[in-house]
Amino acid sequence: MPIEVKELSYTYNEGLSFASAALSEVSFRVEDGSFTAVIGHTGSGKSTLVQLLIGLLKPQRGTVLVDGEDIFAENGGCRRARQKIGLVFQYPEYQLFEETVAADVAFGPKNQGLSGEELDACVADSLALAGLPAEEYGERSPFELSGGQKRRAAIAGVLAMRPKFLILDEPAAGLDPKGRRDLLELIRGVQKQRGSGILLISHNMDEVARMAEQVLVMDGGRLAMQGSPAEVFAQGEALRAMGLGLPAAAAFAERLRARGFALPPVLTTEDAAAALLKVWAGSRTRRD
Amino acid sequence: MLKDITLGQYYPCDSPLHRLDPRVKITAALVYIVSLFFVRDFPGFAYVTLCLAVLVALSRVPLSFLFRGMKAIFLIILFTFAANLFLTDGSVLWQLGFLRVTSEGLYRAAFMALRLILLIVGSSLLTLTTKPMALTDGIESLLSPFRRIGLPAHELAMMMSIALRFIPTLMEEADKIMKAQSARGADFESGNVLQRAKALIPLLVPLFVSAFRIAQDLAMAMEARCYRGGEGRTRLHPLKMRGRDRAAWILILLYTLILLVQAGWIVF
Ligand SMILES: Nc1ncnc2c1ncn2[C@@H]1O[C@H](COP(=O)(O)OP(=O)(O)O)[C@@H](O)[C@H]1O
Ligand SMILES: [Mg+2]
Repeated sequence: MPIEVKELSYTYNEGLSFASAALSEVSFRVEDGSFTAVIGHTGSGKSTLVQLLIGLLKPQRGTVLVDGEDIFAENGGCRRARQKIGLVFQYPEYQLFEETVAADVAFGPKNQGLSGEELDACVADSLALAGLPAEEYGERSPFELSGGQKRRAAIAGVLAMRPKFLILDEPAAGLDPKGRRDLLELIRGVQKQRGSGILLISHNMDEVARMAEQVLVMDGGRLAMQGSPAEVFAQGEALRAMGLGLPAAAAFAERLRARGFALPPVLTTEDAAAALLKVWAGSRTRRD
Repeated sequence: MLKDITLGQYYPCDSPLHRLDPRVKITAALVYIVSLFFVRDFPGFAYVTLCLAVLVALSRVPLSFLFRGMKAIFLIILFTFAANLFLTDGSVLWQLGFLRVTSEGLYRAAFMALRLILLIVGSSLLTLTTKPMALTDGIESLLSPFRRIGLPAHELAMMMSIALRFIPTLMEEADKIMKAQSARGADFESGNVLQRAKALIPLLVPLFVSAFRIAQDLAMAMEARCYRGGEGRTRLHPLKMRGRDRAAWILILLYTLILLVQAGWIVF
């Protein structure tokens, strides 16, 4: 189920003195089952973009095609898009409202018309995928969970709608390193087990380099760059000018290169270690 | 839907009205509101409307923005209009079953609706052109003479400013939660009254939780910065009357005089 974005533009408070163009002329395409990361500094329009993707905002110009269908068409296009695309907002734990975790997770599928055993199975499955087994957490109040658990409960609520595409807006913001790792595992698990496409907004370049197949770089409401992590992170200067950076390993390699080490492009710590070992081995054999 | 409520909202721009001292504007708004109840006929309303129109033009607030807030209270105006139209005794103009329109009713209905609209537009002009902080400073300063008789002027002003300050924050919060629930398939816009009321639960519960969280954070932040009430507190920008404020006082006086003469309260 590809999502195609065509010259999408959005302005908040159009026509008023404090109107601000949040998105201008953005076009891209993401494929079924693919992993796309969106990076860009605060205020560059990332959240606006993902809200447009499921029709929560109406664009002034441009459109979004989901499965080739215009989601802003009159006949309930955005309703169908919301069935296929799950959106996890920033700080999703603030949307929890039910008395029990299971009831909260059931909210989405219930709205889709699921009921009875099918509903229970769907809830249990999503909770398990989110790392909160239903037997242990299902009957607890969502308000008594820890921060990281609340967030995973909220994500389970979106997973329960069985989206073919999952969008996450800075899902790891404010989590500790373990919470962060667990969450990334969760996302990878969703992609593997369900074959869902993923669109992840993240400020963590290491994560992006490690996980994404395609990277979209937003700057001032425009799509500034687009390509594989290797292509995007090869442009360190341009990224820095946009207030972004490189993955730690890539930045490290860049410094070493500036000191005369001949290192190939690297993205992850593993790449960097391998490249360094090679250089080291080479220098040892030369000395021998 | 939620964005339509502009009550208490500030419209940022630079206009003669924005630059006035808040005390002048608050007094003017009070005088204006009271004056509406002295108006007795349509020429009087014409005069008030004209004055208001001049102020609106001076304020540079777009009409569309000003009237956006009216949509929310349109029902109240409609209800007042209908109640006056059908429930006033007098000479019958038109009758259908038990529904009866009298000429007095028509007059009263138009009168009340106009008064309500003028009331709302006039008072929203105050908050649209005055930053919440300035508004509170103005109220505190105007109320401070009454401190001697035990009126907690500072506390009242602080409570008001916090309430005003958090209207947009809570709206934003509500908007966010509404979007998040819509993404989960919630439907806030269709169904009968009961279904719609029930659909609000996923919005209201998180909103209350957020409100308490925000209140707690705010209290903590204020205490961390040693807030201890108004005693001995100084200001970064003390209020100061300028030439334009004195001119505005004279205009307020002039407005009141003309209105009182027009309504026959003062006879020369
Ligand atoms: N509800 C809103 N009303 C007005 N302006 C907004 C709103 N939400 C975002 N903006 C503005 O739109 C721009 C893009 O914001 P956003 O999409 O939230 O960026 P990001 O998620 O990349 O930080 C910013 O300049 C922001 O101030
Ligand atoms: Mg954002």
